[in-house]
Amino acid sequence: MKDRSIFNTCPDSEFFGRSSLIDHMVASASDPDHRHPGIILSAKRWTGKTEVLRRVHRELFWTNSRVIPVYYQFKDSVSAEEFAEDYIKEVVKQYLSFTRRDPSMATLQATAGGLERLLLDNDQLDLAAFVSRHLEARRASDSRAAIKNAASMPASVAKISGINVYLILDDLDKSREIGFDSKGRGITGEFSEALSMGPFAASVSSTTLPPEGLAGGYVETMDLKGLSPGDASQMMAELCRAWGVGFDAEILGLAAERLEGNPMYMKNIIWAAHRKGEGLTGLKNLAGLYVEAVTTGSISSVLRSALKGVVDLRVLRACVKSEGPVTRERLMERFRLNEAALSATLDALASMNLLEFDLGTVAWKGDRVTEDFIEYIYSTGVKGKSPEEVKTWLVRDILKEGFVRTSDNLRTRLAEELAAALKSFDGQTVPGLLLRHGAFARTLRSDDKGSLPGHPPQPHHPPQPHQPTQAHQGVTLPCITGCFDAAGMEKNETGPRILIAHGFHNRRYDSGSEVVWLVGVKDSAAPVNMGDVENFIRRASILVDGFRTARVVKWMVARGGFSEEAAERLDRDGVYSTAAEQLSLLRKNLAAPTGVKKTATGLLPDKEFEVVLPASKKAELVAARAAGEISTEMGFDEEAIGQIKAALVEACINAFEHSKDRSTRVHLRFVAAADRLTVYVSNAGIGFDETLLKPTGRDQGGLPHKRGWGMELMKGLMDEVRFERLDGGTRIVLVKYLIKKPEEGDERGAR
Amino acid sequence: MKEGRDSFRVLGDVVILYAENYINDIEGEKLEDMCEAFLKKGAKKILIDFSGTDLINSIGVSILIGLIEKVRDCKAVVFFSGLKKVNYDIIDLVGITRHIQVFNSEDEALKEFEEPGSDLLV
Repeated sequence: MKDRSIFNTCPDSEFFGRSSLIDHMVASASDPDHRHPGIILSAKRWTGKTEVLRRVHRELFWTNSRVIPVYYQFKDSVSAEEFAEDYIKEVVKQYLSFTRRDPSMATLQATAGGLERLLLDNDQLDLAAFVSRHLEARRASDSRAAIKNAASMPASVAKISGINVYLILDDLDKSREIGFDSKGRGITGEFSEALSMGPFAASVSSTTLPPEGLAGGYVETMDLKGLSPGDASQMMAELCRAWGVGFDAEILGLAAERLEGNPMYMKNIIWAAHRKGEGLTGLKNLAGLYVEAVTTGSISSVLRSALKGVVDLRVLRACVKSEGPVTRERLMERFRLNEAALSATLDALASMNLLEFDLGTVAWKGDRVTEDFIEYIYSTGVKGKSPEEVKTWLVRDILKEGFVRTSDNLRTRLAEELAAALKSFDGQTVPGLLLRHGAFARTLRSDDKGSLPGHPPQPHHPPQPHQPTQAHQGVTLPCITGCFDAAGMEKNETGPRILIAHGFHNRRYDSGSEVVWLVGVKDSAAPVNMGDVENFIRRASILVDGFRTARVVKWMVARGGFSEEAAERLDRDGVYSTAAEQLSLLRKNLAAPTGVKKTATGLLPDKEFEVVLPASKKAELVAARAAGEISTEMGFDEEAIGQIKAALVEACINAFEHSKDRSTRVHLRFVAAADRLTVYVSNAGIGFDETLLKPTGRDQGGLPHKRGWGMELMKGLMDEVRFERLDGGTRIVLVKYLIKKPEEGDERGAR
Repeated sequence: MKEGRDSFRVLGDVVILYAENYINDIEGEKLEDMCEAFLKKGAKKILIDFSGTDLINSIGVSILIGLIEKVRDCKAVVFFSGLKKVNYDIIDLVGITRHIQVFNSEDEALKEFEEPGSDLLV
């Protein structure tokens, strides 16, 4: 296969989340009617704009014939003549490369004289004239003539060849540094005129100072941010795999957030882990690697080099620490600086897109990593703290952030823990104390020897007069067949979340044995109070109307327990009440549902598998194959395995269909827990509109509607289906429980 | 369709179409085209056998609904046979089973059809 690379780009496996932008730029460039404006990509450093522009060039080079793509990267510290020669050479080489379909021509090493001879030998006399004019201007030291000649070249090439030139100018704002006359005028003005002749794309590092002449023109400015959390985590996972670095998905998520999806930072952290032979498997690993990279490692080297123009560290840190915009006067006054000295620092920062100027004020817009780096050099260089002291502080900061995030996750897990307990009921009998918090608390108080709930007090303990013996009696739980959130059935309600579990009593799967458990979940440290109880009882009584034929049981579960008054009220109203510690005991009392395998140490731990699907024909079958293997291993029966595979195929088809970009990948995560399989299917999509996923089309002759059955099938085949919005995409979550099926057998009446 | 098996066979006046392993848009349309071709030739009894089909996706289902419409428009009849449990569940979920007869096997379906004729195709 022909090598498609022209300019250096990173491997495709390390490039994430920019496909839709590239497609947009390519479409804009190759629009035959030239309706699209020029595109200016504005981005912080190292967010991948060069990569994007080079890939746009590559795509146009190989897939279009309407425009000649010319990529040029402006360089630091060059004279106007040097720039003009370099630019002319690039235009000539890339023109020849494109017209001859020979990518090697684009990177040919040749002098201007050599190129002139090459053009003459190939009868490209018009182009050779440009090179000759440049050589004359250089001999005459006429910078202005050299620049004018170079800037006009793409338009002339278009005229000569009959094909428009699409200029792709990387780091266009560096053109300001290239002066060509004694007044120090830059070349950007000349280029603005050249750019107005046709479509183009350019990248700049600053939005505050657009290249002169372009600001008021017909230009589409796009802000290139870091990768979305989903793409960033995916990219880090891919890199970890490629470099043999162990990882934990949650830690990668935390790292992606801290690094704000910046590809350069992410690569450096993973490279550091690889070099040190460490994994990104725990918070401590991440904190250590991050702090080392930012303070003394590879990220620090890059930042030091980038910030070398900043002359006053105090001003820099003041901008970082300021909670809002600060005026220039205030900075001058505080640091006793004159206008020129302050401007030197501020301009350096603005050119790096770290500051934003607005109506005489200055605001920091750099990233978190740069802030940490500045804190380190300021604390060690100005405040005189020891490097170890500052590093320890930074490590603590990351650990704290990680713990907060982990605790958030734990909080969201109460409902999941509860749902797992419900699924494990399976007709078992448990001690009543686990469902009656008042009695449970009284038992604990009266039993200072700590008799365990579920084990009635020993005979030598006098019975408590207020302790109802009924509370100790066992409660037979139903077999739960499905569990979902009541949010979809309630409108404009506030208060604790309510889960609805549907099941059957006494293992009799008939309508007379149907039961619904309405479970209020208060997931906070504060105990359930009377207000919560009344809220739950009121909402439950409304929800009960939806289950007229079933027996309804109410239950409140709370992380922070119950006030005495609330527990009593719940007892009086026949509502079960369970605090976190009771729930934990309840789960221990419940045997695993049928089909769940046990190990010597208890239930099998969760296992996670990840699969990334490319946008290719029948890619969804790869997902189905993986689901088949995992669910077989978990002990699902053949019927359930078929259902999981079919539902997953639908989820994948939807994920591809609703993606922003046809070339996007669909990311699958299988979480195999003791009692269920959860599959997360995510894309970088525009979001799923559930109304679009419902059956549509004509309903002729009594036949079902033709289209849009995906959602119905997923819901019909799985126990739970939900959609979650992610930053930069959408996720479908499919859940199948390992539940003992009714023994009545297959009820396919028609067969 | 199982490897080595023809995609259809004609048994008297019954045309038996054998569905592929995965019924998506492409395979669904192939099935629909084949069915349409037989309908144009005057076939009135069509049996689609899914014993070689592991999965039917929602697009495949949509095409099957369209196929049933076309069969009805031609005053013909179509039966399904050999559906795996999950595929039966899928067509049942969308309501197809209320409109056509589904049989466990090709033989059961053929018994249901009338006595075979031999003059369907020239």
